[in-house]
Amino acid sequence: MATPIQMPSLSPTMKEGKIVKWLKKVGDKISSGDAIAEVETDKSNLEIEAYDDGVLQQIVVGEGEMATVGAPIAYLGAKGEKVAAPSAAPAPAKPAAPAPVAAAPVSAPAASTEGITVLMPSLSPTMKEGKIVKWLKKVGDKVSSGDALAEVETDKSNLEIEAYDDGTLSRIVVGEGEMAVVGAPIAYLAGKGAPVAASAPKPAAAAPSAAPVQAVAASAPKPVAAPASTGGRVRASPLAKRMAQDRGLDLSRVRGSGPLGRVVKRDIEQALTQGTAQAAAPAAKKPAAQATRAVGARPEPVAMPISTMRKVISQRLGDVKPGVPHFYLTIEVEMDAAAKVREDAKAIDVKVSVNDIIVKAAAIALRRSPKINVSLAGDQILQYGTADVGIAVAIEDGLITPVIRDADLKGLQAISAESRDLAERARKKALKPEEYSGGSLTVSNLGMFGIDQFIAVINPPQSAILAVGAVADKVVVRDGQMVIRKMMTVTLSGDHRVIDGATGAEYLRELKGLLEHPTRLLF
Amino acid sequence: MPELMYREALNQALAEEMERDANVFLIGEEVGRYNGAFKVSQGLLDRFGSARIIDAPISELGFAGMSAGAAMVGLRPVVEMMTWNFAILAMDQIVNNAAKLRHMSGGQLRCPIVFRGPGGAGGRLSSQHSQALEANYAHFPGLKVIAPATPADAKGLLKSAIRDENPVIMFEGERLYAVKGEVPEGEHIVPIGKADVKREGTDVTLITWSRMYYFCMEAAEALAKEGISVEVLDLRTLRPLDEEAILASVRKTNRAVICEEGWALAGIGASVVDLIQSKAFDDLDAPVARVTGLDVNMSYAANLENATQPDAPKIIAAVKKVLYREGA
Repeated sequence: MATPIQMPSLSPTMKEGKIVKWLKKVGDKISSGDAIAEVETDKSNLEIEAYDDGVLQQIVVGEGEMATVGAPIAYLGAKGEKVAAPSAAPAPAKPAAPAPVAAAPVSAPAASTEGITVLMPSLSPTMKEGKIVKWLKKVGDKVSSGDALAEVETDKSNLEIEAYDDGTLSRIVVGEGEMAVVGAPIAYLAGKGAPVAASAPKPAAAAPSAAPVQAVAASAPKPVAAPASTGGRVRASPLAKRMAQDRGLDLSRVRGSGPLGRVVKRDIEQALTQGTAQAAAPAAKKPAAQATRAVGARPEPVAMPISTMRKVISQRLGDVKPGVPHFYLTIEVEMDAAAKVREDAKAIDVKVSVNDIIVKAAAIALRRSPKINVSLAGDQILQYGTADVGIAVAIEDGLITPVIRDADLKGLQAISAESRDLAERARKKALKPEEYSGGSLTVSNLGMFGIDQFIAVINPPQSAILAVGAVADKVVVRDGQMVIRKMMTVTLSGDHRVIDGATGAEYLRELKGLLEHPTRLLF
Repeated sequence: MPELMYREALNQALAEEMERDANVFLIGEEVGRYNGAFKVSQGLLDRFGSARIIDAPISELGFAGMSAGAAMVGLRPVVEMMTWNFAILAMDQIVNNAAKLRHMSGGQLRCPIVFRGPGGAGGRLSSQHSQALEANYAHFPGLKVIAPATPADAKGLLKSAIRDENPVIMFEGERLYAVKGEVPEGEHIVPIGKADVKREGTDVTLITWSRMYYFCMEAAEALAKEGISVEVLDLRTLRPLDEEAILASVRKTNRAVICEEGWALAGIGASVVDLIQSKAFDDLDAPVARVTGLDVNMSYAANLENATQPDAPKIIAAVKKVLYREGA
């Protein structure tokens, strides 16, 4: 009998691990204590060892894939033994898993043998889970694409969900009255001619039905990962795929209207206007706005897979400080040279404010510290290729942050003219959405109100904001002498899920350097 | 701008080029005293004399080869093939000599020559007279291949072809000779290698040339009434293909249908599909469709002759398919 090798817990905080490399291959003889794989945890990369002797019969979790602690990652057996129903095998192991999280849908292989997975669809932009009110088909019923399968209660209304494929309803996973998160399997369809409820029967049944219910309790991003790992292929035209990627849409949530359910351009456009299928995090809205603003002309943010460590950091900080977990860094900047720039500009009849200089410096510093030019979007970090700086403008009803695009590339005069125009139109409420959305960092300046120092709240999905205080003459020590200098305080609030203190500090050091030696703004 | 028939536009181009350059001469069966089998050379014998408008015997291989020789020594022959079906006899001279002289002489010899004549199906002439053979010639390096649809393009492209230093194959639609259109007077040049957006649209690109252009325009008109905006790209030159124009249009509409009179297998359209899928894959919202002649020899019977060839209803069906409207 094959025994599972489970993902071990390698740190107190480890909930899942990524297989970096398999050190053994299927068929290899393994002795207890042999290193069998390298695993990336939230803290480090470690080798995991076999606890038994045997032959590696099957690898369940491939290189680069994640597995929750306790989930089977491979099977060990006696020489010559065959793994009977290999991919169904992981399921029985689940009850043995130590942490409840192990039931999370990462262990998809079980599903794939059952034919076509029917997932809980997203039926409203805000829907995260749905309750099966009534199954309209029963096990054994023939189902054609388009048939109403079940009635689902969402956060907004009760709706019928339809089948996207033909087949026979082979198993119902989520019963009437039960909840399932969006993307979780709720039933399985057997393909044409496949035996109903016979192909992947017994032991698996218990585990998956538990999965969605438990997943509800788990943190939000996790269930979203489920449909992706079920291996179901989404048919989409190349254009639709590209559009979905550019706009941060989850293709598997877009209903395709082309042949065989192929997702085509019009489906993406429809999804965009209806707001369905938006990737989980609100942050995903930002690239969408950018994409529509300037196709081709501006670089799209680069989506980077989030590292295991970053993932745990973002989750844990999110637990401690829900919403955007802030951290704050304050620095004092000597503004004499920057003030001189302003005087020089005045001498040639050019109006430049201290804030304009700060905006430009902030943008150049952004370009030089790409790690801060990011935002969190679900399971990815979006890194922007442009330095777009928001400026907080107080208006009668509140506050708005119009964005100066490519502020690093613009001259002070241009920034000055643009900020004045944006601020003026902001007060008249005449800004277009694309003028106040996007942006990677905001400058909030309360210096004109005489505020020396303050702490600003991040404007999501941005990951940082600069709170700028007043420039004031202060006595400071330079070369052992007390001298009077124009000093200004800048406080950076950073989104700790994606930026760390050191990154923020580097950024502030760069900003300080630019402001104290403004000729550097030219290079 | 005066309206001329396609044949008159060709005649004008020939006359203007012969006027401009004494090295240009026309040779072919019945081009002189009979004024051309399709009356393209009407009046040219009287105007330029028998030394430059030369009636050749039925000997395609002979006069094609002789013209290639003339081109090598500095003349600029225009060879009229009574139809491209007969030019198959001259293929050795066109393909093995004209197309390769520059290469095989290490660039010492030039071969400025135009082989022109009607191609495609004409009224009930059956299989030996009704073939769209442009794909055969477009296959060979060393040849340029043009196939204008409108009288204006016919004039402009023929003038470019005569001035080209390389052999140019010109397909004239057999059923286009009487088609009328505005033709600019005098120096009207259409560069070889440039396609033309004949109709702007946003939903799908119809890529075509020669006679099929008219069916495409008819289809586009009909589809417009259903709210489908069709862009019609007239390739005009088949070798070299105007890649930039094809890709630009497909990137704009995200869908393409190629319509050609020739057969599907190894057709020009196949190369266009290859170009699109290799360079604009991420811009495609549907597989590229082709509307081609049926894979049979051309029938004699008029109804079968029509059924064999693409027409507006077939194009409309293909457009709807790539738009996933119906029949998908």
